[in-house]
Amino acid sequence: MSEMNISAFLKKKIENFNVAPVEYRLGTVTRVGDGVVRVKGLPERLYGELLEFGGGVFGMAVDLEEDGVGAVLFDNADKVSVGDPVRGTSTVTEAPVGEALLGRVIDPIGRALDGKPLSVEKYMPTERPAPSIIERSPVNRSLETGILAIDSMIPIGRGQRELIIGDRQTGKTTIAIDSIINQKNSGVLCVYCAIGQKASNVAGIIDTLTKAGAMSYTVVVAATASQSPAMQYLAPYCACTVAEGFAATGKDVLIVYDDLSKHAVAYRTMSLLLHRPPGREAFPGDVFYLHSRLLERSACLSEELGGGSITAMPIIETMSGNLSAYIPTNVISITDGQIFLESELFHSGVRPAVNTGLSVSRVGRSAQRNAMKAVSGSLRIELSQYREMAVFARFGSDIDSATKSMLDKGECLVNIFKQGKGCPYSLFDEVALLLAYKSGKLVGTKQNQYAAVTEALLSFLHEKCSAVMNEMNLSGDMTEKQREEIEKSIAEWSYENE
Amino acid sequence: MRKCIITVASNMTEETYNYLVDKVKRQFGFDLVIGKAVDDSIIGGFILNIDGQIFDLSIRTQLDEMKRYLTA
Repeated sequence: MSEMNISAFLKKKIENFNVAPVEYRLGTVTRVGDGVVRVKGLPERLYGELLEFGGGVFGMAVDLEEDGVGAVLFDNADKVSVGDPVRGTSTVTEAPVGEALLGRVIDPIGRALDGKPLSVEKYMPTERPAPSIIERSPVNRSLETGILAIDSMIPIGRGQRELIIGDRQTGKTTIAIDSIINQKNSGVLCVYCAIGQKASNVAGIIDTLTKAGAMSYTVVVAATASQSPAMQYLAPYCACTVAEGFAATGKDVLIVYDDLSKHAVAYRTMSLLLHRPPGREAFPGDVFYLHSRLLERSACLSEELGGGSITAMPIIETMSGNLSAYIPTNVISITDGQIFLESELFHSGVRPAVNTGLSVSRVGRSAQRNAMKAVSGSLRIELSQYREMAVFARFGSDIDSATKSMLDKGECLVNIFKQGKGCPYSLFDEVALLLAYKSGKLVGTKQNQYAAVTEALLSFLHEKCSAVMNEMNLSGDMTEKQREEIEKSIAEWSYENE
Repeated sequence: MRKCIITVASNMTEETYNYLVDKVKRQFGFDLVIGKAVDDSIIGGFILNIDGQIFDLSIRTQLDEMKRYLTA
């Protein structure tokens, strides 16, 4: 393009320019402190409106008063001073939605954190009403976590809220991440929301997901520990909006909130700085509503709305296993079941450290695939009977042969449920292991050999019953003939100790 | 009693300013208290600030908008 053409091009473009007054609303900062800003003026303010301070700093209006607004800052307060102008953006806080987000890491107000530019067409408000009763349909499709202990005894359905609760370092995040990794090729999109975590942890999780190839169907929304309480407060609502954007197109979504305990603490910090009255444990009075309105947005939508679903896995950290504390009891009463992890079990080598007695899934077996339903019926009872018996056996008393065989079988079951990190099982693997357990073939294996034995058995069956495996993983059903074939192959197999 | 601040550049004549004040009063009601501010950085035109509601018709802002339009 020559010089003449460039100026002609510019002239033409300028001719099409519309001269119009630029309208906006302005307020003035009167007080700044502790991440809370008092603004005077600002006509026609909205509750929850996004406010723009100078220097690219954003905040949210949370206290509407007659002559001004109380706002919380999303970024550092050092750039905001008294007398600064504040612009009202006329939008409540919004989150980006759409396929462009997959594989990306964003912050709760939609800015990219992974260094690449983000261009999104659609935005939806972070606070949205939950689906009404008519807009929902029953939860009857399975969401496979790939973790045998969960899929067999505490099955999760698409559209359910299942809480993962336990002390620190008991494997809560691991269960959530393994569930995300297992959704590869299942058509389920995933959203991981990191609230108040160490940035190094979040980086490690993103690395794990990338190595497992899971980032192509996952969005990460992160508000790490160094960000303002307002940012940490907004993160799960933003993540839920991202999930709703996908569910509205008929997709199934898995969303992990890691973790809601830190979310409640961030909300408490924000409320105390806004001088809202403290209640029990200094939490504000609406801390239940904080979580209930978030988790109610996870649902299984009706056919008319596209048939999509959002499955929520909130994570709560307890102190010393105390399930009766304020926030844990709140969230337990909101969710459709919980997976309770115990440090005792974890340290004695049972990983995932699921306490099957206290864990429950209120949706239960209606969400299980038929093949799994056929083999998992009596597992919880057998496990609880074993645990009762094992207490007596510990005293070294003389045991009769019937009790001994029950103890051996129970020990075998506990060991089968042990699973490595990042090693999800397919439906066929899980069903085959349970059939092997039922046949008694694995009883008598030495404690430290279970991992090797199960691996050998599964690779043998992958070869021998490959047709059955592919069919079962696709359809979720198991015919009598297929069951017999698997049982026959198990009977033929024997463990070669190298 | 609403407050209105009109910001103009120093190159606006008295006649133009009075005409502007008259128009503003007709548009927004006669109960306005008008204040004048002079700011050369707006280059030309004017900015109306009525109790926080801004109507920006300054040349500086129009140039910014045009820049954004041309580089979009």
